[in-house]
Amino acid sequence: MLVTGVLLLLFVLLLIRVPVGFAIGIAGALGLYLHGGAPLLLGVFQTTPYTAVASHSLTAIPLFLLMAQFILRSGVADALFRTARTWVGRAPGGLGVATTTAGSLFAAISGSSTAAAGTLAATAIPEMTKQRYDPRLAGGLVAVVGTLAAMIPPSIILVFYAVLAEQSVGKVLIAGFLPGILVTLAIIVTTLLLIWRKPELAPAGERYSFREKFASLPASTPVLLLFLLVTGTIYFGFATPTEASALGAVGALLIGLVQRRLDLPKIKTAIREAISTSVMILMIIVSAYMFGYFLTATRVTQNLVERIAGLPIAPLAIFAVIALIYLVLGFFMDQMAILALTVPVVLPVIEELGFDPIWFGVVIVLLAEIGLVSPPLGLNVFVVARSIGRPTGQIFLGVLPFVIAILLLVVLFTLVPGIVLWLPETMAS
Amino acid sequence: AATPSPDVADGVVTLKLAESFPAGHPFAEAGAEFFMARATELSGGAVQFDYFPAEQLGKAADLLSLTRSGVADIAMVAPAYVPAELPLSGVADLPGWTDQSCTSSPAVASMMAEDGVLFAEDFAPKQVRPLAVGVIPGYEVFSGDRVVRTPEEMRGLQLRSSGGAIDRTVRALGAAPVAMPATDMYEAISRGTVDGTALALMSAQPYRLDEVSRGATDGAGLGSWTATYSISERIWRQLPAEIRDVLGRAGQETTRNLCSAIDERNRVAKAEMTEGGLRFHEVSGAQQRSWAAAIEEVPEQWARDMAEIGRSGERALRDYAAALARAER
Amino acid sequence: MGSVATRADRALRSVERAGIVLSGLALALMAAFMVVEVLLRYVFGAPLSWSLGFITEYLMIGMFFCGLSYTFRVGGHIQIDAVFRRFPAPVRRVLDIVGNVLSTVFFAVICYAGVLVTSDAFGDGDVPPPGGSELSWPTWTSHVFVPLGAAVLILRIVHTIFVPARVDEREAQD
Ligand code: NA
Ligand code: NA
Repeated sequence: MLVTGVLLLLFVLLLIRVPVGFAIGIAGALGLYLHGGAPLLLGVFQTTPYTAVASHSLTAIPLFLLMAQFILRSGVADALFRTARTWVGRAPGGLGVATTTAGSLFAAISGSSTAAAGTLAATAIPEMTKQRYDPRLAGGLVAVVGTLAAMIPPSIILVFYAVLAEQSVGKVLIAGFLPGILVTLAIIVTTLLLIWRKPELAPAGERYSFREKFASLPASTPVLLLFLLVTGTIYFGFATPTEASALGAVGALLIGLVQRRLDLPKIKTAIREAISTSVMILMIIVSAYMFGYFLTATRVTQNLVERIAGLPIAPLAIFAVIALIYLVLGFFMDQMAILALTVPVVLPVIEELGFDPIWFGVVIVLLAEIGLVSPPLGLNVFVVARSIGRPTGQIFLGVLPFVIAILLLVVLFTLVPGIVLWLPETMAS
Repeated sequence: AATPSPDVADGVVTLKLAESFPAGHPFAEAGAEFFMARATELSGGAVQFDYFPAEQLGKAADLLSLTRSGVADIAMVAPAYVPAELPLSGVADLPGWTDQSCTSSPAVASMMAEDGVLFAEDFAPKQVRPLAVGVIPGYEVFSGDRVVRTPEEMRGLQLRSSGGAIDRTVRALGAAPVAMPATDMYEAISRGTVDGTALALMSAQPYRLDEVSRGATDGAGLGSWTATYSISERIWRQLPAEIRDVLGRAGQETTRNLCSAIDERNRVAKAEMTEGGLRFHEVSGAQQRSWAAAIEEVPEQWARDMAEIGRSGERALRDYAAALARAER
Repeated sequence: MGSVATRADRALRSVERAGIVLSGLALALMAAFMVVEVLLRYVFGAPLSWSLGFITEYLMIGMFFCGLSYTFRVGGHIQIDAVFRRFPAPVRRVLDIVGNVLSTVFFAVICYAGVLVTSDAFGDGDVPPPGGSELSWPTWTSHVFVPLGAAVLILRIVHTIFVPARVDEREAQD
């Protein structure tokens, strides 16, 4: 009864535009007060805001954000896109493939899905429009490619999951790599299939000589360097994941300085932006811990685990229901908020059913990412639509085929979890 | 602030007990669960518990604060996690004491009783009262690629450390403590991010350190880890005398029960890790003396550091040595 | 009324500016410290044992709480306004006030709890002993960021209740 009321309050708060990071905390606070009075509320509030923020694993989030900001502001994405276009631009749909390839390379150094979509929208879409690509295809493609950044390491949201799930940050990050590559391939195949059925969607591009092709390669060196510095470091154990995020941030800064693409005003903006996004994410974590206390104190989590684990239904069927819930939540809610609210409750169930927590993180992040490109609330689509001045409805339609492809991948990862777990398992030896 | 009060209904007191270890851990089984069962039994059902294992009610380092504020009534409080709040109670974690939990646990318990120095200087000011004590003794070095048999071989090593007194010991041996969460330890050792760790046998085994270590010392005696089950003083004062008596007795029984479980777990862990392929290098005779000499100054330095923050380090060392002697008899 | 609000805004902005500078320094130091730590480990084999505590207890805490009010002012928090936008303007105004009042109460509790913790730590003289792995700085010097950051944010939210930020200004910021 109390729990239902508090969940209802949370829903109303979110609808009346209370910041997500405040709404979860306010609902949790009221729940704590009604359940245990002022001592419980004050007791939890004396530890939670401090402990939630003073976390060593979480330092990776501001540092990955800082790295992404430095990369963004030094125009690395433009250079990447130009290289990819030079290599594959000529084939039918080549520009689309180039966008996807550039997107996945960019994803390998950027941790934020929406930032990736915004950056690619500004660089790739004007080019595709010039070549008379169907705007629906162009917009949909870019919005979806953005989600790669959340899978291919580094990924802010996978760090976020690892912290919530108390899993090794390094393993969770590395686990996203192979699925991220498969999502890239799925996007490329889908693009080609669409064009094969309707060639007028994407006219063929320009031709480039091999000289031009090789001349364009050095532009991707910074990406390779940063990828080695961050993901290489994590995989080979040169440093801890948090240290890798610091190496990435400092590395991105140095590359920007050496290439003379960063100056003091840009650096200041990068830092400010990294801070405001970090504060937003950390605030959600603080609030989620408060809400988590409420759920624990009322024993909702514990009872749920017992009840679901006792159901006479196959674990795979229960997982299918959970996956569906994540998909639907993604339609309406912010990705961080979804994870913050659900992981503490759902993960014990998942583990009780015998699934691997690292695998689960990759799969639900992929599901939640679909929410970024699905109506009514699809942040990537909004970003792309705003950047190219097209109605969001058109882009939501353009995204649809890609979402179907990603959902098929989710089924594949569920049936063959080894695809997700193979790389993190090889890390140890 | 609002004063927390015990939850009493129909003459039954229900206490919230928070634990950092998951169900199945020796502390949870032989500590918290044993304590709850005994208290309920001794009180004829007048004391019941609401049990929150596995950090459900808060991080291990927050459990002291959560007990003081009334979120939990009883919680596992480990001095190594809260050095600013309970500095003196790390005395048993220093190197060179016994490797038997059934000697150290009752000795620490006696110093945490009402007339003990740890109660007076650490726990009483923080308004918590230890009911049961468990010490995990016998810290050894688990090393990845380099084998450690003598203190000289510790020089220059980087060891993952859980913090607290063990950091002093690691540094005194010329190695560098690297702080990192326990969940990262296996990977960090297997991939050479750190050279190894210093840990008790029973704590090392669940992390499968036998898979990533080439060797471990056996008998280096590098330190211990102390934990208590402590009750909020404000709750304690509001309880009827007969309930307090029950909790006190259940606590003493728990201290005895838990220490046997710890000693047994350390033995089994060693056997199982040996089976898993880990080589233990026995520290004996002359080597034992050189390990003891290498860490000799750690307790004295600790006592000087305690004096600097106004705590009776010297007295704690003396009292603990005496309490150990009494417990051994 | 208007001039009081403007002066309050100006004063708040200068506090927030100081905050974001501290916050930025904390973030930059965090990156620098960890890189130095890696170098020390590989080049000299001697990591700083106290850096973990310093990074979490001062740099993370400082970055978050000093940047709290700034983030709110520039609209950095994710909000869901798909439904909200469909309400008529007067309703939106009222709903915003409701949300801001609730947020004020929420952060007031955080602030009060933070004062309790800080004053307890100060009164008890809590300090990690020297020679351990943590910096031997009194713990209140870290906990005090919680009530300070919350207090500035409360003033900012209260200011927003009286002088609502214009939506176009918010969008211009992101
Ligand atoms: Na990425
Ligand atoms: Na959505």
